[in-house]
Order: sequence, then structure tokens, then C-alpha cells
Amino acid sequence: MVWCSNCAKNISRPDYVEGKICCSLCGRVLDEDNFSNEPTFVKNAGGQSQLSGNYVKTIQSDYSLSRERILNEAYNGIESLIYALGIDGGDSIARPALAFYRIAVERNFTRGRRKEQVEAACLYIACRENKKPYLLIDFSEHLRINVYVLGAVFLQLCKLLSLEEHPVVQKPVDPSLFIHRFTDRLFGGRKPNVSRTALHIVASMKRDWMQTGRKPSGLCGAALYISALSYGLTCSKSEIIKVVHICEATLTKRLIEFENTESGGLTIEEFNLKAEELQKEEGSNKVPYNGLNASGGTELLCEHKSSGKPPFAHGLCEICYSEFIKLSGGLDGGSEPPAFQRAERKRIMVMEASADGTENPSCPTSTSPTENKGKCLNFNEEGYIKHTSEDENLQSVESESIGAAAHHKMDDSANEKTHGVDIAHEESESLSDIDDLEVDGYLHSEEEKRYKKIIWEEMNKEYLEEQAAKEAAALAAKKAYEANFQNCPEDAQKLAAAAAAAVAKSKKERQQKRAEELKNSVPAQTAAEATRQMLTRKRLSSKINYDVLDKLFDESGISEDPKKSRTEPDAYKDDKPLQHRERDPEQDTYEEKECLTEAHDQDNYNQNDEYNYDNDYDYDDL
Amino acid sequence: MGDDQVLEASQQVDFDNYPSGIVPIIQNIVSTVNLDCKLDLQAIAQKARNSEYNPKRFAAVMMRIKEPKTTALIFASGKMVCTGAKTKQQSKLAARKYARIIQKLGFPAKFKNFQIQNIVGSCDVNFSIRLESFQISSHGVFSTYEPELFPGLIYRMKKPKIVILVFSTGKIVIAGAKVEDEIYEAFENFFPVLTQYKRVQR
Repeated sequence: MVWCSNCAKNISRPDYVEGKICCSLCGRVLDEDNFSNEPTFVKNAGGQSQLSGNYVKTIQSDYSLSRERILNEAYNGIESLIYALGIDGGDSIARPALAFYRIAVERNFTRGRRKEQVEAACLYIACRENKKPYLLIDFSEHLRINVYVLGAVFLQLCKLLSLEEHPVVQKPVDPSLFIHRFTDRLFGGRKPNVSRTALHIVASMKRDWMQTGRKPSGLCGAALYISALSYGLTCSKSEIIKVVHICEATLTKRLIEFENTESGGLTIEEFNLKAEELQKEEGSNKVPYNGLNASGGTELLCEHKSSGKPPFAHGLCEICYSEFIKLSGGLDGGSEPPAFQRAERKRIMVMEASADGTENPSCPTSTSPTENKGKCLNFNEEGYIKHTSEDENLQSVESESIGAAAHHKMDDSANEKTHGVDIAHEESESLSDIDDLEVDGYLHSEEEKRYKKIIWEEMNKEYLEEQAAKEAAALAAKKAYEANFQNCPEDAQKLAAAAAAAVAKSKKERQQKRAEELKNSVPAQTAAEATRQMLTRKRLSSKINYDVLDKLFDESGISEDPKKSRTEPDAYKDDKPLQHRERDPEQDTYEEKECLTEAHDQDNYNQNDEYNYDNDYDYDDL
Repeated sequence: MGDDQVLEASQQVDFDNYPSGIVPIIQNIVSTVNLDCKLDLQAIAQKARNSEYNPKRFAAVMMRIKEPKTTALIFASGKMVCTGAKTKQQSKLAARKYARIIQKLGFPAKFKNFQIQNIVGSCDVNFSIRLESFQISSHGVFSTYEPELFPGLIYRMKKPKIVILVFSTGKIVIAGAKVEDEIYEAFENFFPVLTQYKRVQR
């Protein structure tokens, strides 16, 4: 819709002829845009050559060419990752991942990090969101980097995107998701029986507390192995290892742990039966017994806080509670986690050792809860079974030995306290209270010094050589510089030296000042303050009209940038960068910089005018 | 494994100050001090018996003393970091010993701004904990748990500003305190949360 002043009405479909927009009724030229890739020069009134026209930002997007390129390359990288790992979902995964990547680029997250690592982290978040069963270790295997390195990038990215409290990252990964994928990889097709049994095994592992704190891949591997063998499918440990990315020692360990649990003793049919029973029970929503409810109170604490549903258990609504049970196996234990069992065993061994060396027990019972010792843990060694009956004896024996140890500790700490008080009274700067004999013991004799010097220089030869080279280079540069100016009068030389020194000093000072400012800066209270801070930091303050800046945050009107050329006719292009600035005053706005550098026209505006692109354009005559 | 420091005579006090019944043990104290003079690290490394200096790997001399058993990082600017002590007094004593050694090596070392930067404590609650439950609960805001990366849950308490590592076996590590009381306070704050998610015997 363009307004033609000749016809005095809006023309709905103007003609486009050779870069000119013409009225279709009267033929008047309404607008003229001549875009070209080559700059042409004209002679102006003074006889000087001048660029005809102005630079115009690319119309397609707000981004500069380089940014477009970065995003395209990232998209290709993400797609290649998707293809390599066989993630299905294609575009529906790639697009969110690219969106994360774009934010990462804008926040300078990609600087100093390998771009493929950032791509992988973005893709991993997208996968977690869509519940795709892919682990960090799959990505790290493909990229051939340490999984912890990738994990660090992932955690930093979550912090950057403020996803730390988001349920996507919060809800831990459920091992059951991975069973189907691993079954496919192992057997090259769907094997529903194997998958189902494996899922039951994983659920039983969860109930027996084998899963808390462990990598999900290890459990899946063990479950699959057992399940496959029980159905008669040949599957060796090394195959599992390759698919699941764990080592053989871990796999063996998990198998042994599972064997030690109650479920480990059942045959496969018994196991399946029990699993199905349990599933039916879970479906019937039984309420956990009251001991747990008491601690939770009557408040709803899960993410459905505001929905007004009644709390079911532990401060979770019904949905969340059933999810929780499914995910983790609940708080009722089958058996203790294996690491805990090991720790218990060690404790008992220690107590046995101390029990041998103490007198008759006659002390108050210790406060350490020892009810766990009463429970018969699934030990393989028989020697420990007798402890279940001798519980009380042990308790009092333990407290006796702890009491004895505590006495010693008290004496020690009393000594230290007096010593500390003495030190405090001393003049803290004079260190004369330190035992000189001891200190001398830490220093070399003359001969030893000589030897150590030789050894050290030998060991650090490369470093010393580098240092020498650096110094020589610095000296040579200085000499060359001086040689240049040897013929100049002394004053000029001094000036040059002083200037160089000043530049070096000011650079360092500036850096230090900036670091301090960043540390000390108070976070801005309002958007206007934040913009001001950003402007002073970026030293753009001379180019901004502050009155309009204030108005900017009072109304939601558009403000002007006096540097921008009036003759850039594309309204869309101008609005977008400004709105970016409005919305994100605290971000590093590269767009603003680009506007400023690309506008070559230094016209002075009447700054109180609002932007009106319709009628009153004064063109510079080209 | 006397992680319960039950003092016989003062058991009542124990429960008044430490209602949980468990007192965390301080394992490590990190402190810094300014020796206030430029140092020649090569000379120090060559003259002191108990020091190592590998400039390509790290730009400081690592010195150790036997009593109190500590390690110090000494930088060319004259700043020093002392780690490994178990009490505040030991840390200060150790730092002074290091300063004395530097003095004896011929540098005009002083002892300015001794400050404790970090105190680490640990304890054992003797029951297993379901780590996944933290994230679903209202404490999810403060916790980070990635089993793929680390077997423990990282809980960042805001007041006092402390980081707590929780493991499923019931072992707890408390770090980031500037004074010892913060460790005890943090643990007392956290213990009820732990008991909420502990394993229930049937």
C-alpha cells in the first residue's frame, strides 16, 4: 500500500520498474531503490570523488553476513551429529538445538570453546527435552572427547540459558528409556520380550537402590545382558560393552550386585511373575504408609504448586509422585545400595578391631544409629552374621572406644587453643616465634644448593631457553626501534619513548580498570540504568541522545540514533535493530555497533521527529 | 571411624548445639597471606629442600612442611596460599613457618592479611539417600544431579552460602565456608532435608 500524492489515494498494487516504485494509475515515481553490489563513485561539487549512495544492510535478516554463516555452519554441524548418532526426529530436534546455539552465540559462549562441543551440548539439551534416549557419552564418543569435558560445557550452557531449574535438566535421566535403543543396536531389530524383561530388571534394580548415583548406561547394560541370556540369545559381554559404552569391570560389578539382591535369586519366570504383580500394585495407587507423610506436611511442593491439587505424598501431587516412583523406585528399600553395604562392612570391621582391645562396657549408648547393623544385609561372607545377635554389646563397646578417642581429641584441641592464643598475642609481623632449628632443616646446605641448581636447570632446560629467546627478541625489537630514530633529535626520541610507554601503561591500566569495574558494578535497577551502564562501558555515550533515551523507557515509542542515515528506506530493517536494543539493554548489542559503523551519512537529524516513513522524505540528491 | 564426636561428659550440650546428633569433621582449611615482597622463584626452588617448581606447568613454587602437615603455593608476586591444615590455628602456624623459610632464604617477607578462604568438612549420616528425590521436590532449585557426570548431588545452600555434596551412601561433604560455624550451621539446616529422603526400612 503506497500513497500517491498525485492521485491522493493509496495504491494497493504499485508497479515495480527497474528499481522504481511507480503509481499504477498516474505513473508517478513514488520510491526509488537502486541496489548494486559494486560501489560507484561520482565527483561532487569540490571535485572530490565520493561514493554514490549509501551502504545498506542486507535486507534478509538482522544478522550480519558472518553471523548468518556461523548459524548455517552450526546447523550443518547439528544435522551431521543427528545423522551420525541416528537420532530420529530430524528437523524437530535440529531447530530447537539451533535456537539454543543462536542464544549461545549471542552471549559469546562459543568464544574459547570448540564449536562442535557447543553444538553437541545444544543438541543434547534438545534431546533431553524430547525424551530421546541419548546419553552424553554417545556424543562424546562420536566427537572423541572426554565425557567430562563435554559435561562441563553442557553444565555451563545450562547455566547460561538459565535452564538450571527447568524440569528438562532437573529430572534425572531414566535408564528405562535406553533399553529399546540398546536392544535394537544389539540385536538389529525389536525383541519385545527381551526389552520387557530388561525393563523389569531395571525397575527391580531401582527398587533395590542399585541405581542412585550410577551412570544409567551401566545398569542398562547389565539388565540387557541378563535378559538376553535368559531368553537364550547369544550375546557376549564385549558386544554389550561396545553398545553401552562401559568397561568390562563395571559390567561384571553390576552383575554381581544384582546377584546379591533378592531378585537376583529368582529364576526368570518367577521374576517375570513378580514384576507383573508389582506393576499391577503400582497401578492401583496405593498410598505410602504414614511415616513418610508426616514429614512432608500438607503443602504441595512439586512443580504443580499452583494447580491446587491435594498433596499425595512427600509434598508431591499424585502425578508427580507416580513419576517419582517410576523414575527412582521410591524410598522404601529392597536392599541397601551396594556402596553403602561396603561402607557398613568396613564399619563393622573397624568395630571388631576396637572391640578386641577394650575393657568391659559401662557407658551410655552412643548416638550413632545402628539399626542398620541389625538388618541382615546380603553378605556373602558368613562371618558377619553373628553380629546381628550381638548388637547391643557392639553399641556400647563402640561408644566406649569413641569416648576414649574423644578424650584424646579434647586434650589436643586444648593444647592448640593455648598455642593459638600465644601466637595471637605476638607481633604478627615478626615471625621470631617460629622454631629456627626446624626452619633451617628445610633449607639446603651450600653443596646441596649447587647440585639442585644443576638438576633444576637440566630439567627445565626448555623453559629457560624459551625465556632467553623471549628476552633476546624483546631486546632486538627495542634496538631496531631505537636505530630507526637514532638520527632524530633527542627531544623527538624522548617523546617517542614516552608515548610508547604511556600507551603500554594505559592499556594495562585500562584492562585492570575494566576488570575492577565489572567486579564492583552494582546491577542496574531499571532498564534505563542498565542501558546507561552499557553505553558508558562501551564508550558510545557521545553518540546517544540521552533525553530520548529516557523517553525510550517511559513510552514504548521508538527512539532515534542520530548516526543513522535517513535515507535508508527500509522501515523493517530500521525498526528491528532498535527494538533489539530496547528489549535487551544489557546484552552486548552487536547490532548497534553495526548500525553505527555502516551508516556513513552524517546528517544531523531533527531529533524530536518521530520516524515516519510514509511521506516526508528528504532525499539527498544523488 | 569416630565420625560422631560424642563427648562423654557433655552429651547434653551436644544435642542442644547439634540437634541432629552428628557433628561434621573439618578436613581442610585453605588460607592466603601476602608476604609483601617480590620473590625469585628459581632461587627459592633451588635453595629450599621441600619445594618443587615447574614453570611450564604452573607459575608457583610448591612447598611442603611436615608439622603441621600442609602444602603452600608461593607466587612470584609475594602472595601465598596454604592448604591442608585441619584447624584455623594450625593453618596460621603453618603459614608463618613458610614465611619464616622465605625470610631465611634472604627475602624481606612479612605476614600481611592472613585470611581463611575456604573450610571443608565431611560427615556420615549412616543411612542411604535417594538422590533423585531432591530434584522433584522444592529443593530442586538448589540441587544439581547428573549421574552421567558425577555420582553425587551438588546442593548449593544460599544461607549460609555453602556447597554440600550428597552421596547415596549417606556420606556428606560440606565446603565453601569462611568460618567453622558456617559448616555446622549448614549441616544442621540440611539434616532434616536428608532425613526426609532417606531409605525407609520395612
